[in-house]
Parts: sequence; structure tokens; C-alpha cells
Amino acid sequence: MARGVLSILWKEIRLEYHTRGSIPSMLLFLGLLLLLFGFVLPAGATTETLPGILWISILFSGILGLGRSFRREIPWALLLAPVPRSAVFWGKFAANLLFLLVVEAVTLPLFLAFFNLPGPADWLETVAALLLGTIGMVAAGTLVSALTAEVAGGDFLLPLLLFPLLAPDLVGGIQATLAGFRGDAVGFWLWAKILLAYDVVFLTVPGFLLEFILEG
Amino acid sequence: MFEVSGLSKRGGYRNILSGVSLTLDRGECLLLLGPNGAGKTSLLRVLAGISRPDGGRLRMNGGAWDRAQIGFTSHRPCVYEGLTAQENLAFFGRLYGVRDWARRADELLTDLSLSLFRHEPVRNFSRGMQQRLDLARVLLPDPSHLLLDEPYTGLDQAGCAVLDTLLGERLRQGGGIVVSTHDLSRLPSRGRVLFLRRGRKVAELSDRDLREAEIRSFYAANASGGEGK
Repeated sequence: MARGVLSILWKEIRLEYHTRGSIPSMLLFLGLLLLLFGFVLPAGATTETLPGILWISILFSGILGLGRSFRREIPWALLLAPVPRSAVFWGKFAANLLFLLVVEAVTLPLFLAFFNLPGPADWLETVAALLLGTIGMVAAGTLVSALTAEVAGGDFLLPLLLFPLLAPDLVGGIQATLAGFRGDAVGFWLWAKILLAYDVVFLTVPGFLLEFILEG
Repeated sequence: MFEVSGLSKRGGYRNILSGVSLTLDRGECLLLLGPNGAGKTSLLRVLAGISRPDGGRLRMNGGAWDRAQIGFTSHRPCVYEGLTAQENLAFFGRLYGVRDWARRADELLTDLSLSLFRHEPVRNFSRGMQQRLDLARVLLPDPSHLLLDEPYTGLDQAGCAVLDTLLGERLRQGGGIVVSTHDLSRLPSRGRVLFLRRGRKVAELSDRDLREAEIRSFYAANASGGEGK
């Protein structure tokens, strides 16, 4: 299992290095969103509105990367390998998570600077909220990406299926991040538990479903 | 080496494969013939473990089916265009747990005349070069059975000769090979021909019957209407 996951992760990083496919396009898209939000939001955005803007931006740019995940894949190349099928999911998940976390690491300081806001009251809680929310988003996104990669109109189907599925993760992510910005430990833990439950579900289910999704 | 009985596969309302049975012994080459849509690629995909059969039994060496012992090439080369030739083999070598993948990859790239291009991105390769690299990918883990779908497509004369040599070596070493092709000049000197039509096995000819003219006339008589229903 570990061999399969690490091989796929290594391959995805090399592909990203050569093609510069996901991270630059996600960053560029996030930059454009940042500009748009700067235009449409009333002057003086506060820490109360920032988490929502941040998560919507992460979601939209994340879709770009997730959509490519299985579309540039040769699914049966991985199916032939003598590794468990769930290794395909875990390898893809690890790569997608890494790429999106890199994008978030660049984006968060950029958002704070752009809207001229102070940092969160509790950095640890804010980072934990981003991490937990991103894990759930990437897990569900990787599953739906596998599901729609070989389907006609998959580009259209991916957000259509993924957005409703991500609603609990998105709400939890926004609220937990907001609690982190406020320094509200009680609020953070409440939403962090919801995010954790979501992560457990979407990290467990794909391992069972991928066998049927990838095989014809 | 492997034995398949009563294999069936449905695609929508069509029977893509209906009760196909076959065996493959050590050092034997089985040629799959049949018109377009006869089920050759579907049969290879099921044997490779990419596609799940709806019925039938597959046994390898008297036990369960082991996909680690299968090497499969499709008519579409299975290599990543964004990676170099060396990186492609490094990935598949690691994925298959090949211990000395670097040495094996060097040997194969040399045998297939690709060693000069090892650090080139595959997207710059011609179709024939991609096909050769795909062959290197398949041979890297040293599987005991090769399933080759139209392996000569896109190869130049030199490539075809290299492929013939490599396949000949595999057969001498006791490996089993199943080849799907429309090129009747590639009939094996020793082996069998399995003729598929509409997802059914319509004939199996042994090596003493393998005379190209006879196969051609048999092909012409049975080739009409490939699709299963």
C-alpha cells in the first residue's frame, strides 16, 4: 500500500514540476478572485467576512486542480499495478492535498495584506481549521474527480456533484476559521469536530468505492 | 499457465464477450484474430484485470488470478507524456516494486534504442517511440504473461524486428503471450490462433494449421459483422 501511495505521489510531483499544471493555475485564479473581491466588497472588509471569502476562493481554485487530477491520468496504468486499488485514491489525495496546501500557504498572507487586516487571534486554530477543511475538500474532490474523469461532460459534472457534497465542509471550515480569527476556542472545537467527522467519512468511503469506480 | 472458462462481459444491452474459454501454456503464443468489435480488446482487458467480467472463471498456475504476473499494452501507449522516458520507467518500476528497476530500465532503453532519449519528455516522442517505451514499461517487472493489443501499430520496420526478437526471447524463456492483431503476416511459427466474432470464440486453430493463406480465407469468411449483440 505505502509503495503504491508514495510512487503515485512522486509521479504527481514530477508531473507538476514538468508541466506546471495545477499550482500556477490555482494561484493565478486565486489572485484574480482576490482582485474581484477587492472591487465588489464594500470598503473595510473585516475579519468577520474574510474566512468566507477565503474559503470560497480556495474552493473555486481547488476545483481547477481537482478536475485535472484524474483527467490527466491513464486509469488502467494504475489498475494494472499489483497494489491495492485504494492506493490510487491515497496517492492522488496526497498529491492534491499537497498542491492545495502550497496554494493556501501563499494565499492566506496575501489575503491579509490585500485587505489590510491583522492576523488571526489564534494562528494555531486558524491553521488547524484550514487543514481540516482542506483535507475534507480534497478527499471528496478526489473521489468525485475519479467518478467524473471518464464521463462525457465531466468538467461540468465535477462542480455540480461536488458543491452540494462540500456544503458541510465549507460551512464548518468558514466557522472554524472565523473562530480562529476571533480567538474563540469553544466555537473552534465545536466546528473542528464536525470537520473531523466529515474528514473521517470522506477518507474512508473512497477506499471501498474506488474499486467499482475505476474498473469498467 | 492460465485457464479461462465461460468468460462473459456485458456492455449496456450488448454481450461483449459470451462464454469465451481459452488456455495458455508456458512458452506459447496465442494470436487473437477477429473483425473490429469482435471482443479482442475487451477480452485482453478482462484478462489484464482492468475490466471486471460478469461471469466465468479465471485461474493462473492452478490458483487464483495474479495480476502481478500480467503485462498489458493497449493500442494507446500507457506512458505519461509530461514525464521523461527515465521517469516513466522509474515510476512503474517503483509502483511494481521492481528491486533493480534502474538497471532493468537501462537495459530495456538500450534494447529498444531509446537510451539517447532517456531524459527527453515523452510528449516529444513520435508514436513509434512511445510504443517502444510502452513495451519497456511492460517488460520492466518481468511478468510471466504478456497481453499485447495491436503491438505492431505505429512501429517502424526496425521496431517490429526488435519486438519480434523480444517476444521470441520471452517465449524461449517460458513466458506466455497473447497478441491481438489484424496483421496476418505476424502469425507465430508456433502457437495457436483464436478467432473471435461477436464476442464468441468461433474457432481455435493449432500450430499445424497455421498457414497464412488458410487463415486469410478463414478470416474473410468469418469477418463480417464484428459487434456482439
